Amino acid sequence: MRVLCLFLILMSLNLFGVTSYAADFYLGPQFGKTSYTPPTGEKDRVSEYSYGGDVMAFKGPYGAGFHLSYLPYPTDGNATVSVQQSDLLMTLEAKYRYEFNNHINPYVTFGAGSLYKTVKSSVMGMSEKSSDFYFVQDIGLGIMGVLFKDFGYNAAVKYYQYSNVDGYNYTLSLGYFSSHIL
Amino acid sequence: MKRVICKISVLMAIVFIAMSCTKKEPKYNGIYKVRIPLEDGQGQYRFTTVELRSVSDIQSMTGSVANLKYGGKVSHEVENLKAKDWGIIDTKISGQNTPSAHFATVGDVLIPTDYTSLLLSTVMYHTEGTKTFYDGFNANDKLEFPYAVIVDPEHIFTDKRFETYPITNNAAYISMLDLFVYHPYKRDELPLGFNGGIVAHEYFHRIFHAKTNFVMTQLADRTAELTPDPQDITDLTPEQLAKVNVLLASALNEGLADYFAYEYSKNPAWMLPSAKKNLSRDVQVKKNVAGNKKQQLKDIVDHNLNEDSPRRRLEQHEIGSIYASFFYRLSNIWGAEKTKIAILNFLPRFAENFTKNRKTDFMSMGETISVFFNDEKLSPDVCSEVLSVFGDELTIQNFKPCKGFEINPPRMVNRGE
Repeated sequence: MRVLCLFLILMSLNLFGVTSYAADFYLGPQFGKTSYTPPTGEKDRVSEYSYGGDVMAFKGPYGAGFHLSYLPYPTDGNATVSVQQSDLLMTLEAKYRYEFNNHINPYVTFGAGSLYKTVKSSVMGMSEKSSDFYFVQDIGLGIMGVLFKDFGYNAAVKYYQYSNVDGYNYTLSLGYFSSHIL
Repeated sequence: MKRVICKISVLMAIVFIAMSCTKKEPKYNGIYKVRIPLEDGQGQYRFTTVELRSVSDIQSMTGSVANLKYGGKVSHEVENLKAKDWGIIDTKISGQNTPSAHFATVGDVLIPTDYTSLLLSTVMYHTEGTKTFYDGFNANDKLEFPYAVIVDPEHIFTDKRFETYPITNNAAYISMLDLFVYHPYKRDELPLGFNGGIVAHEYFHRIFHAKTNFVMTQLADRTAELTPDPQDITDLTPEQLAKVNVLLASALNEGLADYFAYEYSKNPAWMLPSAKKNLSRDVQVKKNVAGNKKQQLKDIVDHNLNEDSPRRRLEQHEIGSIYASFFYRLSNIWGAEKTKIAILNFLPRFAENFTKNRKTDFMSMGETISVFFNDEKLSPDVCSEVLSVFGDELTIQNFKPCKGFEINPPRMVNRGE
């Protein structure tokens, strides 16, 4: 099922001809804040800082990208019982932008991918580590463009969901921007 | 422009279909396997895979034994905190959330991915475990399931002067609401919800109240002011006497709960991982009642008046630990099954006696134990045990079940911690 969903998203890129050549290319590290639904059932989401990188390419209004981010949660518990978790998120994204000019390109983005979670649980000094993959999907809005020469920016807010967790991912990235990559 | 809108719509539709078709449905039906910290019977905790059989939805922590809620507020309005006048006027609960526990899956085992999910899973396991444990000797007869458990609420006592007293690092059974509470834990030892002995201890209070027909919750009896240094019951009004009896009955409730906590956990020092300073709750530590009936009455009144903390229940736990260690030793002679069933059968008798005599007689520890044995002829080793603990009050001459025996019970010198 997950493969089928990924296929549908990738097919949508092909449908609009994105798999041919890209005209604009962006690559940069990103810093962000990720909110998530807490296990306590409280309505207010909890936020943690995350970091990673963004790659994207556009041909005309259509684009595709790859998003990678790492979210280390703070250790939770006390000296006797504690749990520490971290998420590595990897998503493939389809994008559609509106080109006001070279500096301002608002876009919508849809992504799907996988989240690799590691959990380190400890009790009375004895620890064990576990990990799991989740299928994650997101949808969001962003803006990207050239700041000067080959230097560009990308900022986005995405709503994501996996398992019984959802939240918002706010990211800011500054990096290499080229309109002549291909 | 129309073309663009059309393309966006098609793209969004495809993506949303893709997103919705991957929505994870709860895929575990019936039995959940969860990895939680469990005690090995010697005070060491290790991660162990357990099965939860009563849980219908592990994420919201609902099931046929208990429904867990998180946070919110539990507030008791009492008469006067400073005067230690804890007659509860009203209890309110508000703002609890249905949990949304998070898990990773390794094979068919769920791994809680955060502390709260781990705590909730462990509490749920022990609620299920204690039900099975108490079902084993029909202690749950006529009790209703599922019951409510609140984890990590703000729990406060408030009096009419708006003085407040928050409760942390503790657990409680609130009989008037048939509700269990596991308070926020601020210390560095084992949080109480992870300690199966604590869960079994609190659960016993539910059984105690049910089997004694809630005689303990005759709250008006707690509000009488005590006067120091009573020499005999004639120095106390009926209301004062009833209050003293309620305090001592509370100690019995705590002591029996400690004994059952041991039987569930199979660790005599079951509380140690959560409260290293509280050595007196180790049921292996033998204690005896210091003083005859008059001395006990005086001690209880004076302890109650001299206590400088409003947490007078600590004293009840300490007195109760005498009962706990006694029943632990009795179970070594009688066996656990006989002891557990005898305690259950004793509770209605205790309630009847309590209701009848609470305002006219002091129901001392020796008298309570006499009601427990109900004139049953005892073996010499049991007699020896009884007289070694309650010997300042009970003797071969006045304790009917041991009349005729020639016993030299070893007397203890100290009451213990």
